[in-house]
Amino acid sequence: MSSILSIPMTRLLWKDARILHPLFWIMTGLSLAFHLYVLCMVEDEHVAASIASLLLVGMPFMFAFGTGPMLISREKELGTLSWLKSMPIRPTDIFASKRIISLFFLVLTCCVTYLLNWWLRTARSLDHDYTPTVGIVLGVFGLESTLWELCFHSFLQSMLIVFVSLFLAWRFHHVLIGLAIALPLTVSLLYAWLVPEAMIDIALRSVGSNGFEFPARGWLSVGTCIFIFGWLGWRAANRYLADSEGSGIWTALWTTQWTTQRAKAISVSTSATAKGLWTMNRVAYAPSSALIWQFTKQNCWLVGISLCIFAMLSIGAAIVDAFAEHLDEQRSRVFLLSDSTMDTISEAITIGSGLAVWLGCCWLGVSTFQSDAVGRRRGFFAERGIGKWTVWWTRQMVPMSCVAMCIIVLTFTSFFFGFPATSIPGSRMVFWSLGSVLGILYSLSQWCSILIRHSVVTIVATPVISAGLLGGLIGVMLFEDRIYWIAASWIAIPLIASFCATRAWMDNRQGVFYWVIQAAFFGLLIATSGWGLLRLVFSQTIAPRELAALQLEANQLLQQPGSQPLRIPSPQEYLRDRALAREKEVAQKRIVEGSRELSEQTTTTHAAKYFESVADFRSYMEYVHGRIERKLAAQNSDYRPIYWPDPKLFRLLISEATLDRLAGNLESYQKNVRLIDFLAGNARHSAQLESQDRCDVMDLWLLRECRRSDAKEKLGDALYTSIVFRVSDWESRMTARREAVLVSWASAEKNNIGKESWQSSFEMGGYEIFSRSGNGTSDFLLQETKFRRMIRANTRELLACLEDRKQGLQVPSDQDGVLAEQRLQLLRRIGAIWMGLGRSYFEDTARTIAYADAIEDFDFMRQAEPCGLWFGKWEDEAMRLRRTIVEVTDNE
Amino acid sequence: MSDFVANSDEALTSGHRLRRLQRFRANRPLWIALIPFLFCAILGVRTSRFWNQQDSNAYQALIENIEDQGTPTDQAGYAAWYREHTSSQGTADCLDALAIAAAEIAFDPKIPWVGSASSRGNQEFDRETWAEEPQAADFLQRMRPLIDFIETNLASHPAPIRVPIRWTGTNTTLEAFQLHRTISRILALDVEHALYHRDAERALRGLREMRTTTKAFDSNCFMIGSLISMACEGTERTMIRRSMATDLWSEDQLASFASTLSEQAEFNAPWKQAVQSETIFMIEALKSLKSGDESALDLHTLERFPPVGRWFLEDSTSKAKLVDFYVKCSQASDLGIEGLQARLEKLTSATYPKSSEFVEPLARLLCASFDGFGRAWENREDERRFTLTAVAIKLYQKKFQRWPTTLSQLVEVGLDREDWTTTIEEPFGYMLDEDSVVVWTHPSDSNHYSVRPSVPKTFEDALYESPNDKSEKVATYYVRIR
Repeated sequence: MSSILSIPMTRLLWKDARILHPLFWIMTGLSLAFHLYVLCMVEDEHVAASIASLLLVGMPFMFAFGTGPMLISREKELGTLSWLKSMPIRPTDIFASKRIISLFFLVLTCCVTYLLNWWLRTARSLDHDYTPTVGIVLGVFGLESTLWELCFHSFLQSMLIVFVSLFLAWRFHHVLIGLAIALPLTVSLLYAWLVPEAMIDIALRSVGSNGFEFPARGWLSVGTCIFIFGWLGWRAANRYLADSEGSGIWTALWTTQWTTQRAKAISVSTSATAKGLWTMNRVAYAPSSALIWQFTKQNCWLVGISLCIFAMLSIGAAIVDAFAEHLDEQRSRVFLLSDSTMDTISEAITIGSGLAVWLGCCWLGVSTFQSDAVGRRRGFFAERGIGKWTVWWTRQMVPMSCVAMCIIVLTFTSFFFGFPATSIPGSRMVFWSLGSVLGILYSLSQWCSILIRHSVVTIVATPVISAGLLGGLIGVMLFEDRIYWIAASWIAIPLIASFCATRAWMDNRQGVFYWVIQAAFFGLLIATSGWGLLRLVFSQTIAPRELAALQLEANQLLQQPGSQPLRIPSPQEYLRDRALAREKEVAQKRIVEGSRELSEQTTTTHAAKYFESVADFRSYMEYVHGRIERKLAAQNSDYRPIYWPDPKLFRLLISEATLDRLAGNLESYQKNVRLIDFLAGNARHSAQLESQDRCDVMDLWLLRECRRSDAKEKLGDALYTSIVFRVSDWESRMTARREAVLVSWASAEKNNIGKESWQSSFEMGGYEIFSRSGNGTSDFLLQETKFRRMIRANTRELLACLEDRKQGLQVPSDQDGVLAEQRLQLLRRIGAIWMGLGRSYFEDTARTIAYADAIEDFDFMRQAEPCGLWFGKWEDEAMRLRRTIVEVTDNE
Repeated sequence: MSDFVANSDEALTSGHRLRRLQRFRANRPLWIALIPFLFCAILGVRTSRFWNQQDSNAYQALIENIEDQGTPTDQAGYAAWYREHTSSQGTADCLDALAIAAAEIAFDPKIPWVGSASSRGNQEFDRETWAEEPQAADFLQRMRPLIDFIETNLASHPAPIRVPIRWTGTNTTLEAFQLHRTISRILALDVEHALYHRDAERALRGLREMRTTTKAFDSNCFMIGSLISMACEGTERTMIRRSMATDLWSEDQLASFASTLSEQAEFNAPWKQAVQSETIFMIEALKSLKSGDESALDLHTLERFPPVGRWFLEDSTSKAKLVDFYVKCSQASDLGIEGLQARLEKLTSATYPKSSEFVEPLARLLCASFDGFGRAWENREDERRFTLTAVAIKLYQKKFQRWPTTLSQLVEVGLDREDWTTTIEEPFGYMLDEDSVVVWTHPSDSNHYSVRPSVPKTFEDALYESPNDKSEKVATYYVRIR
C-alpha cells in the first residue's frame, strides 16, 4: 500500500470522505433527535435506560451498515469505479481509502453518540441497563457487564459490520438494493458465526473441558470475524477492480484446474454442447447483479406494496404497544378519544397488523417467480445460457432479504417500546417464532408462485393457500414438541421444490414427471408434520382385532341390571306430591320467586332453599326411599336407587350431627348419622364420579365417628355395626367407582367428542374438565388433545389407586391375580368405550348434570393425612373395626 | 486409421468426462443448497441445546443455592416440613370445628359476619337497631357447643393446627384454609352480640377465643394462609375497635388490650416462609411442564397455553429468571416492612413488565403477586397501629377523664409518634365531636381512590370508591370512640 500522504491516495480519501459525510451527518442528527426525545418525552426511567442503551449500540451499527452501499454500490451505479479502473491507480489503494474513511467516520459517529449518551445518562441519572434489543445484537458475542465494556464492544462490532458491509457491497450495483440486502445479510452472517462457536464448544465439552468459555472469548470472536471479512472484502475488491480470481493457494489451484478443464472441453466441443460450454465458462460475476436489478425493476410495485404493508405492521405494533399499555391516561388527551374508542382502534390495529403481515409476506413470495412465469422469462434466460441456480437465487434474493429485514425490524419494534428485561430469552423467542411464521409463509408462497401460472389467480389464491397450510401446521404443532424441525422442514422443502421447478422450466420439462415430482414434495411436506399426529391417533386407540370382543363385553356389562341409573324425584316433585296446598304454595313461591321474606324464615335451620328444617329434609328422604321401594317392588327388578346428593345437604347433616354430639343430644345425633349413612350407601350407586367422591367423604366422616372410643355407646350397637360393615365393604366401593368411571367417560364421550357445536362446559362424571371458546380448527385439536390427556391421567390415577389399595389391604397372594384381572378388564372396558360403543348406548341414559358446588370445602377431610385416615390407611382402619366386631360376635 | 480410432477413443473418453462434469456442474447448486441446509440444521439444533444447557446450568445453580440454605425445593420435601410443623392430634381433634365451619359457609345464614348480610364491620356500632339480632341469637344458640368446644379444646393443643393438604403444585387446593376465618367470624358474631347486650364478660371471652383461634390455626406458611391469618387478626381488631363505642371496658382491661396490641408481630420469617412455599409451587409447575404431567398446574390455566405457548417457558433462561425473581422477592423483606410494596412493584415491573405478556405469558402467570402480598402486610401493620391508637385514646379518657385534644398527647399513655402514623408516615386523622371522638386513616395509595371529605363525619364518609369498581366501597380505618 502506498503512503497515505501520496497524492492519489489523498485525492481518493477526499473523494470518499465527500461521499460518506452526508451519512455521518444524517446519523448524528438522528442520534441527537433520539437522545432529545428520550430526555424530554420518555418518563419512565426503565424505558429511558433501555432506549439509551439501544441508541448507544444502534447508531454506530446503523452507520456501519450504510458504509458499503454508499462507498461501493453507489460508485458502481454511477460508474465511478469503472472510471477509476481505467486510471493508473492500484486497486489496493482504492479499497484501502474506502476502509480508512469508513473507520474514520465510524470513530466520529461513535464519539458523538457516546458523548450524547453520556450527557443523557447524566442528565436523567439513568442506570446502566440492557434492552432485549441490544441483547439480540450483543447476544452474538456475549453481554458485557459495564458501560465501558459495552461502548468498546459496540465499537468493535460496528467495525466488524463495516468490514462485512464493504465485502457485501461489491455484489450490488445500486445503493438502495445494497442497503436493502446488506442489512439482513450482515445480521444473518453475524448469527452464523454462532455455529462454529457452538461446534467448538461442543467439541471441547465432549473431551471434558469447560467449553469455549474464557474472558476474552467475545474479543477473539470479533477479531476473527474482522480478519475473515477483511480478507474477503479485499479479495472481492481485487476481483472487481483488477479482474483477478483472487489470491491465495486455493484460488490459484482452482484457476489452474478450471483453465485446464476449459481447454479440454473446448477441444472436443460440438455444436450440441456449445450452449452448455457457454454456460460452464460464463464470467462468474456477470449476470447476477444484473438479474437482481432486473428482478427489482420488474417487481418494484409488488415488492413496494409488500414493504409498505410491513411498515404498516411495524407502525401498528408500535402504536398498539405504546398507546395501549404505557400511555393509557395520556392517550385520550392526545387523541381526544374515549377509552372504548381507543380500545376499538387498538383492536383494529392489532387485527390489521396480522392481516398486513400475512398479505405482505405472501405477496413477497408471489413476486419471486410470478413475473418470470407469466412472461416465459426463464426460457429466455435458459436460451442465453444463464445458470439455473443463478436464476433461482437472484429471484429469491430481494424478497427473501425483505422478509429477513422485516423479521429483524419487528423483533426490534416489539421491544423498542417495551420495558427492559435483564435477559434476552424473550427476544430470541420472538425472533425464532416470527422467523418461523414469516419464513413458512414466504416459502409456501414462492412455491405457489411457480406452480400457478396466472398472475391474478396467484395473487388471490396464494395467501389463502399459505394461510390454510400454516393453520394446519400450527394445529399439528399442538401435538408436537419438535417444532424447530417441523418449521425448518416447512421452510426448506418448498424452497428445494421451487428450485427443482425452476430447473425443469429452464430445461423445458413440464410434463407429467414435473407434476409428479412436485406432488412428491408436497407429500413429503405433509409427512414431516403429520407423523406426530398419526402417532398420537394410533397411540390412543386399541388394536382393531380386539375390538369386537371388547365391544361385546362392554355391552354385556352395561346391560346388566343395576348399571342403569334410576331417576329419583326432585324436591319440587316431592313437594307437589305431598299435595298440601299451603306447603305447595310456599314452596312454589320460594323456588320460583325467591322471596326474601320466605328465605329469611329458613335461617333458623339453614336447610338450603327447598326445606324449612332438617326434619323437613329428613321427611323428604324418607319419602324418596319409600317411593323407590314401592317402584322396585312393582317392577319386580333389582334396579338400584341412585341419589344425586346435594353437597350442601351433606354439609348440613354433618354440622348438625357434630353439634348434637358436642351438645350431648344423642337422639338427634343418631338420627342424623343414620340419615348420613343411608344417603351415602345409596349414593354409592351413582354413576357420577363426583358422587363417588362425595360418598367417600361421607364414609370417611362416618369412619371417624366410629373410631371414637365412645362410638358404640353414642351410636348404638346396631347402627355402629351397620356403618362399619358398609364402610369396610371395599369390594362394593371399588366396583361402584369403576362403573362410575365407565359411565362418566362414556357420557363425556357422547356429549362432547365429535359434535359440530360444542358445549360451553365439558363435564366428566360431574367434574368440569375445562371451558372452551371459539370453534377454530386448532382450538378443536387443542381441546381434543387435552381431553385425551385428561383421560390418560385419570386412568393412571385410577390404576395407581387400585394398586395402592391392594397393598394397603394386604390382600392374600391368591387374590393378586384377581385384582390384576380386574384392572385388565377395566382397561378393556375403557378401550371399548373409546371405540364408539358408548356414544349410541348412552344416548338416553347418560347423565351430564353438574353440581354447582364442588366438594372442595370438604376436601380437607379427604386429605386428612395427619389424621392417618386417607392415604392407604382408610380401608385398613375400616377392616380393623370390622374384625373387632366379628371377633366380639364370635366370642359371644 | 489407428490414430483416428485412438483419437475417437480419446474423444469419447473426454466426452464421457465432460458429461460427468456437466452433470456435476448442473447438480452442483442442489448440493450447495442441500449441504449447508443440513449442516446448519444440525448445528442449529446443537447450538440451541448448547444455549439451553448454559441456561439450564444457571437454573440448576439457583436451585442448588436455595437447597444449600436448607430449604426444600420439591413438594414432597415441603409436605414433610408441613407435617412436621403441624399438630396432627390437634388437627384431628379440630376437624369437628372445621366441619361445622364448612357447613356454615355453604348455607349462608344471611346474618352479619357469618353470612352474606350487610357487614357491620363497615358500620358504626349501633346499640339501638339491629334487624338480624333474633336470627343471630338463634344462630349463636345453635353454635354454642362449638364456641364452648373452642374455649375448652383449642388452646390446649400445641400449635399450629393446620388443614391437611395434598400437594399438587400451583393446583394445590387451599380453599379449606378459609374455614379458619369462618370460625373467627362466628366468634366475631358472638362478640358483636355480647356488645349489643352489654355483656362484658362474654365479649371479653369472645375476643380471647378469637385470639386463641388465630394463634392455634397459624397459617403463616403460604401466601393464601398468611392472608387468612391476617384476616382473622383483622376481624379481632375490628371487634376491639367496635367495642370502643360501648364504654364497656375498665381501665385495666383497656391497658391489657393496649399491651397486647403494642407487640409488633414477626414479619421477616413468615414472609420468607410464604415466598418459599410459592417458590416450591412454581418449581413443581415448571417440572410438570417438562414431564408432561399437568397435575401441578390448573387445567384452566393450561387451556390458554397449548404446547406451543409452553415452549416459551421451557427455555431455561426463562426458568432461571423466574427462580431469581422469587429469590429477590424473598430478600425484599430484609429492608423492613416500610415501603415493601413499592420495592416489590418496582422489582416486578423491572423483571416482568406488561409488555412481557406476549413473550413470557406462562412465566408471568407463575409469577405470584408479591406486591399485593406486601401491601397486605403493610395494611396489617397500619391496622395494628390504628387499633392501638383507638384503645389508647379510650385509655387516656378513662385515665384523665377527658379526651386528648391531639394525638400527640397519647405519649402520656405510653405511645410513640410512630404508633399514630401509617407505614407511609401519614398521621391518622383525629377529631373531637361532642361527647365522642373520631379517628380515621387513608388508604396508602389514596391517589387512586375517589376524593372524600377531609374530616369524615360518618363511617360512610370514610369509605372510598374502588378504582376498579365504582360501586364498591373500599374499607378504610374509621372508629368513633364514646
